[in-house]
Amino acid sequence: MAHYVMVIDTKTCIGCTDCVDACRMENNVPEGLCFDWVVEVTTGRYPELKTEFRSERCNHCSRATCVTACPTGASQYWNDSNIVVVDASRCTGCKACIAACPYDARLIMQPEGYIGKCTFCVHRVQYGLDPACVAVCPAKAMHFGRLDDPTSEVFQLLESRESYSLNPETGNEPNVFYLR
Amino acid sequence: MHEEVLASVMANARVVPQLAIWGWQIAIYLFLGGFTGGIMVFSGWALITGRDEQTPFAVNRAPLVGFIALSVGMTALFSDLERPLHVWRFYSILHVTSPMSWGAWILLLVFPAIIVLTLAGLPLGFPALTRWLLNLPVVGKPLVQPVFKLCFFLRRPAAALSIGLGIALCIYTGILLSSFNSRPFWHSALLGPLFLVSGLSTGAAMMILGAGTAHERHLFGRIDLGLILAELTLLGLLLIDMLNGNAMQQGAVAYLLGGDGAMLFWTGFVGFGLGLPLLLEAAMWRRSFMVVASFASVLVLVGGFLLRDIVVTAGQQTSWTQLHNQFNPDLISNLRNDGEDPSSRF
Repeated sequence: MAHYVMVIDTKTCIGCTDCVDACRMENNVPEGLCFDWVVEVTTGRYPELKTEFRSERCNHCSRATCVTACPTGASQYWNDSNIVVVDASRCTGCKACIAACPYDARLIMQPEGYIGKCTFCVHRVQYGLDPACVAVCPAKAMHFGRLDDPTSEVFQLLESRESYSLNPETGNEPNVFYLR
Repeated sequence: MHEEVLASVMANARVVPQLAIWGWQIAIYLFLGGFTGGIMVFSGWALITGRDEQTPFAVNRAPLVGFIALSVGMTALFSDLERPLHVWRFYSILHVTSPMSWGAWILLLVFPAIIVLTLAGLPLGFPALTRWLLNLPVVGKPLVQPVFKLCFFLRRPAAALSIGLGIALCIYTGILLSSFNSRPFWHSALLGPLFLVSGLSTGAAMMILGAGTAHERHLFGRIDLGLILAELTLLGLLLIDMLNGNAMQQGAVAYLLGGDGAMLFWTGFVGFGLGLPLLLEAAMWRRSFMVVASFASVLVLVGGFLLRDIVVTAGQQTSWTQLHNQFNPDLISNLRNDGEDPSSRF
């Protein structure tokens, strides 16, 4: 099984939200919404404050609750990988997957009505390209690749540096990692 | 200090309130589904135990009420689908891990059972309507009459099925919500039994409202008293579960116990939906009075809807994403009105 992960370096991310704009252009996201978003995290106590930016999106969970909750099988794994996609032709817009997603990564496409989400730009990935957000990142803070390949950049990064994922306690096994 | 601020926009109901996942349509459906389930259980029970004389409303008339209620509920559910024309996709697969898929198939089985019960009870329950149907041109005699006979013949097996299907219909709505680990307030296995008991209670309330005999009203009044007590117990257990749950569950229950939802929860649901009917039914333990019993039943029905509405809303108050939001959705319209075409920004 191909195990695709995204590794985002919070040390080099400058929070420019270019990934958000690239995604909008690439995926025709409804106005006012987005498949990815940037969170500014401030920790510490004045004057010793620390800020890091996190570019968040669908975590393409290995055990995705949105896939199990979908009544029609529209929400599914792409080509036996961990990339979660929605088959628009099978989607009824019942919103069970929106309720099932702990990361609030899903939205209703307007005006078509099917459920949209980050696809890791599967239309680019299948030709060996990086997702649009990774490709445009001006700080080169984002990395994409296969974790099941020990020679890949993402594997090396996760091996050599400390990282965390968002709310792994949901049991969903999220696959977007942030380097500290 | 640990503060997370959203630097861009996000498809989250707490960021853009219009994005609430489920609203009043789903609450209406969950209520009417449970209501119909309750009617099916009691009508089936009355039929199987041969209470045609004692409980004429439950046997002959109630199934039609249930059929209409479920049809209205299904219409509400249908109107909530973002792609209503794709509704047939529910029946292209049984996705065993999805309670919603089970529910879709349960509904498909519920309709034939309740239609058989409705048609079997029609000649005695609604003689005028039956006469009109029998006198329909062309189809009246050759088609409608045999159908009535067949349904009357099938009514006992259909009644037995109805009990099982009614329970399934009531309880699946709760299991559907409780299967969402990501909505902390829904994530309790007590929702299934709570919705089951509430559905049965509203079904019994309908039997009281339409009761054909004083005996029937008294019988279902006593049944409803027990069901309201059971519902209060399950509600108490749910609150204990949530109060001792994780931070997100505590946040959601605080919304009900002392936050914005407190008025509706305490006064509406606990006070008028459960407490007052409980007192009224208890006072009528020996003798039932029509006006008082009807009033109590209406309160039970209102309470049944409020329970669904409260649970659907409270479940969406907290989730795993806890962000401070700087995005103001109202500003999008300003962008639209500044003479610029927002799609041409790029």
